[in-house]
Amino acid sequence: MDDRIGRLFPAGGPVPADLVIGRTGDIEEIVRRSREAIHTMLTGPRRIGKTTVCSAVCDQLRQDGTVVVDIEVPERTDAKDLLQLVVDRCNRISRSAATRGLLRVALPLIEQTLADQGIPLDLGQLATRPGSLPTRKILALPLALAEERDRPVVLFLDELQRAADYADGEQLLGDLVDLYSGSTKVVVLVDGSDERALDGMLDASAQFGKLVDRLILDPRISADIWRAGLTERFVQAGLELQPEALEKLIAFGEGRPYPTMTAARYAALGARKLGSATVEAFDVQMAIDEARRHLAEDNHA
Amino acid sequence: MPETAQKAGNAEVLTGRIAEYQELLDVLDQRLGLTVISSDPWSGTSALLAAAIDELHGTRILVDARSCADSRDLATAIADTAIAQLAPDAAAWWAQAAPPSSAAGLRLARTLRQSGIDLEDLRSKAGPETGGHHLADAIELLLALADGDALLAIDHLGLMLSSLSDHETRELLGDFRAARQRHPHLDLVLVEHPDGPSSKALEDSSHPLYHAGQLIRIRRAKPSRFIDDLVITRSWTRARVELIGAAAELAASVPALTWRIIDLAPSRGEDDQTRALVGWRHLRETTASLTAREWDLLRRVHSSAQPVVATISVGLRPHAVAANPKSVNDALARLRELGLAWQPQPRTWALADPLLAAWARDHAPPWARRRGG
Repeated sequence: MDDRIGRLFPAGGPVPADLVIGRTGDIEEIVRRSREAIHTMLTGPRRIGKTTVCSAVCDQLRQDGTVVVDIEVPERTDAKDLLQLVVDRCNRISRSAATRGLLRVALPLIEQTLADQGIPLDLGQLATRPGSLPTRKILALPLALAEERDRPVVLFLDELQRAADYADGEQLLGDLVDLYSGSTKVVVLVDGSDERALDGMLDASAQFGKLVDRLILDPRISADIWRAGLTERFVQAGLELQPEALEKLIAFGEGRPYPTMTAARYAALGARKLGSATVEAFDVQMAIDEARRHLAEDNHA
Repeated sequence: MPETAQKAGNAEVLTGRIAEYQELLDVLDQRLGLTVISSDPWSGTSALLAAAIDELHGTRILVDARSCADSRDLATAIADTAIAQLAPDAAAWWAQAAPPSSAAGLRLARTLRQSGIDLEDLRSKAGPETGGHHLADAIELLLALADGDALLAIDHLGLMLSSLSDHETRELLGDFRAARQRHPHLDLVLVEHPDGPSSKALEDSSHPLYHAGQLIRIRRAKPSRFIDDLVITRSWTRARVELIGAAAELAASVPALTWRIIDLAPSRGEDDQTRALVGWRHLRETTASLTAREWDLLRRVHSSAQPVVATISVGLRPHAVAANPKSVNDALARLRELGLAWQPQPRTWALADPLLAAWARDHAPPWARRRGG
């Protein structure tokens, strides 16, 4: 096992499924809903683990044989790059199936589908005028994948609220609703953090609420779960976290994943720098001070 | 014969920088995900980072963003470095210096195509017009060659970002964030000057990079640190302690210039201060034409850049320049972005290059000389 601190105490980035602390109920709930073809939008403040939960859901579904098309919606002025990502991801899945010999076809399906519709693999070759893109045809590619693979497909769109700011965002959201609100072959899973943008998406003319059920992720994880999770994590790092130190960490984090994990990471890093096998309350206090400085800097924004 | 530092023991890189080096090693070795290094200009950070990366285990590559104009160039630079380092037998094919049918090249192309990476797009900079696509592919290429776990350090990223619009910068940093989201075993190290766009993004709750990593601040050392660190690095150099101290003072603690002064100092002389001074003068003489050219090019940085630099060089506050305060502020911001000026302390400005500072002082316009005393 990789016991480096950054791997065992991930903060500020995605957490691999096997390292997620808590969230089991949320993950199971979304997996269940996805299996029942219920489109879901997971919302909540930033840095509470929405992407981590959705990624863990995607991992579980993949193990069941579900095809997952996962895309982080880029910050852009229009949908072109997002659509390019849809083309790339779908084509990659289709191509890898063809390469593995699962399907005996001359051209992978997505390439064939796009060629039939006169859409190049490289959307840069198309006119750049907003609204002139074949948005609906490209967003329908996961449906073609579901047909090709004869398996359910999950289309995971991370930070979808960014699309609300696209010049052609309304069209994109409307197309998603039209394509998938009646679909059981492709399940849409989205997450987003900007409440105002999300409300706009759900209420505006795109009426994204017609497509997805909104699920709110609790920003806090219970102290008992943290106790068990953190103790185990420090053991994995070869460190003994003393009870008083553990309680200090939990009290500081107040159940919130980012501050808790940031302080835990500083504590583990400090112990490793000093070559110490034990993390005492004093070490945790130093780590909390460091985490506090880090968080205070962030709050200046 | 001039007294020359022994380079084998890395005295040039580490003297005066031992604490920062240890911190870098500690942080990078534990693979903390995204690390932004905010370093004072001419603080020796590039050499320090290269030395630290050299010490690490696992796949790690270091890219210099100064040669890149945009994210497409950066993607190509990442791909070039990754292939040169991780698939060296295919490097000639990649550089189009070997036959297109080279076995190593074909093998690489086939392997990567199976991962959905189109090498031709990356190599020729063709494909979608925005660079995000290329950057994502270059990172996929790196991870494919590294077997899924790699550290990518991009030195001088801030300088590259300074030539992009705010919008392009945000998109590029957002693409890095997306790459980290997609590949948890990708570690990124981004280097820029203080208050650069990456460190600001870490604090901006509306930015994709918000809370996505940690910041390491590397300041320029005080000259005394060069002496203090000799406790550790003494055996790596034959230069006399007093000579190193005097050279560090003259070079305003710029490590590279400190050691050049030591190289150029005469082997015999009255005392170490005088020897260092002779070395410094020799260095100034040999670089005078380049420094003069650097001064000329300031005209292209900002219309007020030359008077602002002249003012700082004679010890006046930048706003002593007879120009609109906004213009002076813009010039300072631009000089800082490009690493030409920096703030050793709040509300204090200094020129990053002591050679330029000395040249500008000697050639300052009469009004600046009179007012600066």
